[in-house]
Amino acid sequence: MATIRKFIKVALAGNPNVGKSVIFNNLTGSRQHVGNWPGKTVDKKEGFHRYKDKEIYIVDLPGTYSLTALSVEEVIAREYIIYEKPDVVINIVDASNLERNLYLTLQLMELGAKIVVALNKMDLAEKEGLIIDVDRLENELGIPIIPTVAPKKIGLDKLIKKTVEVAESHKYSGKIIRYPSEIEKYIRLLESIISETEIKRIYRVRWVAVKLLENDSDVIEKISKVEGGEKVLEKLSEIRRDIENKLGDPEILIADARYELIKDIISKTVKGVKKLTASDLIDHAILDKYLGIPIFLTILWWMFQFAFIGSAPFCDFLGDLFVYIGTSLEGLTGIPYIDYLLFGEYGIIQGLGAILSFVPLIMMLYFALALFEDSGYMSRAAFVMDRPMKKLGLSGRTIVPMIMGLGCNVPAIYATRIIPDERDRLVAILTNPLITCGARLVLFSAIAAAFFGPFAGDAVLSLYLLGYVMVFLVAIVLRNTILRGRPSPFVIEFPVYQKPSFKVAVVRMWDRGSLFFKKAGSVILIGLLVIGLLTITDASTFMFTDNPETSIISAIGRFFQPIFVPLGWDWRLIVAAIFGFVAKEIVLGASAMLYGVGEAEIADMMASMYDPIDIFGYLTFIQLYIPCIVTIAAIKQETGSWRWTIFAVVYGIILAYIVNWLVLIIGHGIFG
Amino acid sequence: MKIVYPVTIVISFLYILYGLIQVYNGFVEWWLPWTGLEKIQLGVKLAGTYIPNSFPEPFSGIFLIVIGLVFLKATYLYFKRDEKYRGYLLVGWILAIMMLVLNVVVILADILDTYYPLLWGEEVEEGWTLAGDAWGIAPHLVIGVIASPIYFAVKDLIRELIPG
Amino acid sequence: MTPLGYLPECRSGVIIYIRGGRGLVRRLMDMGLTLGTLIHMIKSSGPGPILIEVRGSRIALGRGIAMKIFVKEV
Repeated sequence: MATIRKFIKVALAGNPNVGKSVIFNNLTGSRQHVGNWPGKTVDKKEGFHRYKDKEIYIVDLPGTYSLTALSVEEVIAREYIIYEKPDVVINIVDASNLERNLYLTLQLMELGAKIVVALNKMDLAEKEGLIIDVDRLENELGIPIIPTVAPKKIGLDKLIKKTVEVAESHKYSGKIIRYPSEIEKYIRLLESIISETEIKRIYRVRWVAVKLLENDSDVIEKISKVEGGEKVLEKLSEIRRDIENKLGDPEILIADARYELIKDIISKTVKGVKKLTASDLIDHAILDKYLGIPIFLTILWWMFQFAFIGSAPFCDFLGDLFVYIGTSLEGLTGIPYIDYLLFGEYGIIQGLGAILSFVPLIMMLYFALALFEDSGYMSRAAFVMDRPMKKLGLSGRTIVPMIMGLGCNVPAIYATRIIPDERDRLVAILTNPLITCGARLVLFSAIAAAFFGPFAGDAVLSLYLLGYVMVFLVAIVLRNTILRGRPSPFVIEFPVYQKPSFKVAVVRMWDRGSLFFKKAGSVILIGLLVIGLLTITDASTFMFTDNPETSIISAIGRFFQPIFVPLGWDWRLIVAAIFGFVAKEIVLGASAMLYGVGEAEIADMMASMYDPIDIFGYLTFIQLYIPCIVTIAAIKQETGSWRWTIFAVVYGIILAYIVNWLVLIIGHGIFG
Repeated sequence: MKIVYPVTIVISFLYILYGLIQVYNGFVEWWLPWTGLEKIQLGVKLAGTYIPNSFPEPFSGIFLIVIGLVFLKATYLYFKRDEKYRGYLLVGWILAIMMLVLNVVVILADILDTYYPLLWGEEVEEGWTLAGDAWGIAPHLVIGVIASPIYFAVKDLIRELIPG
Repeated sequence: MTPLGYLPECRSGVIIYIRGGRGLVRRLMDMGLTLGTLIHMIKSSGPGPILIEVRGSRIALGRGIAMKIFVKEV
């Protein structure tokens, strides 16, 4: 075994959509791990790459256009570079978008990081008619530039080799960004004041000076806590006033200066003019005034048919598999308590199976979504849907989780990360459970078929519509009351379209799918265990019973019955609803057990016992009330607060109760 | 590309026609079962079913119509000598291929779904048949095949989209 | 000078003024929209966000923001 002589720490930084993830995946392969940045809901990807006798630890920083303090991604990126001090920062730059990409490059240089630029998408730049003089660019910036074509792994070896070289050398040759002399003199003034304090031990002096002039709130706050910082800040306001009187807003001046510098560099290093690209042509069709939304809906429908029908055999297979395992292990331990709990028809193994049989569906959905994300279509979808969504108080990007909710609310809630505005995001998270997920569809279809005959389809459809209508109503209410705020500015970049990578889609599908699997598995297991115990324990003797009518859970149901009298429920429906709290998939099976019949007969049995309108009301309650516990866990994780999670649960139950009651009143009023 | 416009007109017409048929069939099956109206099938009778099989689903029909409209607009722009027609042609082709693939996936999934119990030695009572399949060989597959040669008209654009 | 929202398709304009709070201006600057930048209007027909080309990349902006950016047509 070779001795590892050196451990090199590298960070990947760059604009969104430049191919950073592809490079990260190519370098780390299976030696990667996806987690969260501590305390934030932003993905953290880290991994390892072996180069000769060196281990390179790579962190994929969130994609950012800049390094201000305005977004959590930018703060994460720059704090990592400042405090974790990576040996090298690999700045991935999109060659077909050089002008804007260099804006970040300049800021990284100012931070003082040792940079190696990966000039990616060289093939695309070429196709677009651009000719880049890489050597000249290297000279102008003073940092190494390695052209790459990420999907074909071109240039990656050279990139790593150069990175190691730079990491091990002690020189830093990056040019210092010189601003126009009028501003430079103020920067130097600030620099000299800062150098007299302790600040210089922690941060790069020049970077602090520039950031202070840019009114960076994060830097200002940090400086105020360092010895000597107060004095610096005092002097700063003096300087800022001076600049504003003589030259104008310092922030704008500095940004302009950067862009001027970039323009100058570009004029010396890039030749050629961009032609009308295939991407533009596609966009004219995709964003067509009349066909844009229909095309979007078509693609959506496609994704769902693909995911639902394509995964069906795997879902059925998994479901049957667990039934098989459960039934063949029946009576294994000889202890009725454990046997029933674990292997019984409504026990843990089969309950787990019912839920895990959903995993193929979710994987397929994620796969289809990843394909469209990778192709570049998703941003267009958000664009096309933004206006109709705005009318309903939601942002355009909310459409993605709203659609994913049709498969399962859990991944949908994770998907709300793509919504940049915190309030928009919260609204999206809180309203998502109202969307009919796949589990509810199964339940509704079975019951509707027994109760409503040929109109079953309509009944189920109306439940879907009810869900969406409620989403919009609740969103509007939230947006006008507790989550009041101006809708965030809609600014989104359209990356060039590209053929989506199968590999990338599979990786993403696996990442997210297995996350769901682990979460769901653990949470549901506990839930099943609890209600399983409650169902087989006699309420009075606390001994095993295989008669659910005498169990603790039925006692609970009977206890709450008075509350549900206006809704026409009996204790069995309450118990079924409690089961539904754990997972909607098991409601049918649980009801069957409570009535002592098989799952195939339960629907018909219920048809003979309940009034269709009452049952429809019950279904509307199931549609709107608290989501399953996995969803609750997801809400807690993505909002980071118990307050909002409890709110989601409580308002759901109340809303469901009211709507159920209204349905009964209106229904019986019309039909008697 | 003088060959383009007659072909795209035909393709667009086919998508819209079968789309309408599916919508009609869907209405009849889902919402008007009491009227006793008959569903429409326009195709070759083979293996106990029609090819293409216009299965009754209004949403499927609506989206077929959308594809037809995309091809229609491509034709319209071509006549107006507007370069932008190529974008619509490409998008139309991509959607057509997507539907074709979907149809194939549906059939494969149905077959898998029928025969997987064999994995643990269980008997399969009712085998899979084309006639018994919910989709069968639907317009998605048939018209998709007809539309696939459009590839040659948009080949260069596709090449631009492939990395490297 | 006209608001960006009124710039006709396929025409270009230079940004001469941005009316907005610090956050908005900063955000736009980061994306490359600064004073003096050349913008090419790709799509603005119909309601909803507009699509522009700036510094070689394509950016979609909400109409509200587009009305806060003032350009001089060239």
